[in-house]
Amino acid sequence: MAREAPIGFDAATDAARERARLAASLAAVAAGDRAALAEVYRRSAAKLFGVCLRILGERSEAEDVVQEVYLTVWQRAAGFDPRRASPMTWLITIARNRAIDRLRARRARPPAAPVEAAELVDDPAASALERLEDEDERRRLEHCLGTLDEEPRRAIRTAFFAGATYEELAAARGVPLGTMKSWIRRGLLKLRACLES
Amino acid sequence: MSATGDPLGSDEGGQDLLAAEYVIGVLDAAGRRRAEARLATDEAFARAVEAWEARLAPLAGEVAPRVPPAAVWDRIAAALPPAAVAPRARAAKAGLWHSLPFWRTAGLGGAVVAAAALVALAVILPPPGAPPGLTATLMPKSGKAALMVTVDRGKDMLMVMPAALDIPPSRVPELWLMPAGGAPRSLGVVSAEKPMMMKVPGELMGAIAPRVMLALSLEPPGGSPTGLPTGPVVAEGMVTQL
Repeated sequence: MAREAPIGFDAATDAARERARLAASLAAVAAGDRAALAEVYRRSAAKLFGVCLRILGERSEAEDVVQEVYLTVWQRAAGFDPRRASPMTWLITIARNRAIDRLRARRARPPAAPVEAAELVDDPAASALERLEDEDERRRLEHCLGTLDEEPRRAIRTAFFAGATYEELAAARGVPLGTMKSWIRRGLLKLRACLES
Repeated sequence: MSATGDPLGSDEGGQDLLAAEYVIGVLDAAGRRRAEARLATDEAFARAVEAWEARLAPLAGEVAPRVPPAAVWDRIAAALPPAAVAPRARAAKAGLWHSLPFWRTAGLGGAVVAAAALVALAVILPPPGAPPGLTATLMPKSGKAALMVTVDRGKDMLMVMPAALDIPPSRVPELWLMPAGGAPRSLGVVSAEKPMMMKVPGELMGAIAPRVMLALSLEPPGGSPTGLPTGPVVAEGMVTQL
């Protein structure tokens, strides 16, 4: 699998450079530079649109949220601190939060469908840079998720990708709410312990 | 360490778990609002949320990128303040757009400054191929707040950008269309903090035309219970053709 390819020194520096460029663009956005926002958009919009689409499942809503996200970036870029977060993580966090808020604002919503393995498109070429950038963290997280029991692992992943509530997850899996809460909470505690070990 | 009993207790473990629940997205709308209120005031909680965001960030790598249609960027560009103000914005520390003193000046400085702001905003271009855009800048009476509304007639959408709205707790800002000689009509509750898109029913959209006034009133949570403004009007502005 392409995932297993060793990460060369050059690739790692490319990733660091990409990250630095994005951080510099965000700093320029904070100073009111419109061209810099266009640059941030160019470098990140496809990923953010993918994330919003995954949560909302509907193109026009995902487009609206992406629009809101970049206007939020325009307003809040001064709040980005490169010492505290990677620029991509910061952007994806804004996108996920806005998409989840949009999802919650829908009145009646059918329960979230379980995430099928096939939906989590494994496309190394599509986000090669990001994979390289976070390769160590990604492997670590993958390893630690792998130490969880199947139900908690699946529930945590579904929550993350679909933005589903405890209630929706419980209904979709056909288990009592308390069971779902305890799966996820225990899974999260175990995950943290593994990541910090 | 002791995660016994309710893990959402006030102990450190409970705080960290709540942070994780917020980040993975399992909280309902009310739970998210509570977590966000805490984020704003509780530094330790904010750090816990940041840590979980970083821990789970690699998962987002599994989502396939999808290129959004070009119209999305066009709409973003159209909603930004015009390039004409950028040099001044660059000079300002936090950016002119969310600089409270700028909006204070614009509000207090009288017709000349307010007109300048409107003129500057009016050079925003509508997306190519779209009907001519409309915009309204709601200037405060007190000089303390401002809101910019861009009208997208192609999509029946309003893009609402708050600048420095100062909304008292337990009140929400509601946007109104004020037709000349008619009763105010609600366009909906807006956010004081975040830019947002609002869908407007077609027949209301038709009434949003140049020289019509928009107003912002303070209402109880959920919006005016009567369908008419019940609280004070804190900002108003005229719709202008781009």
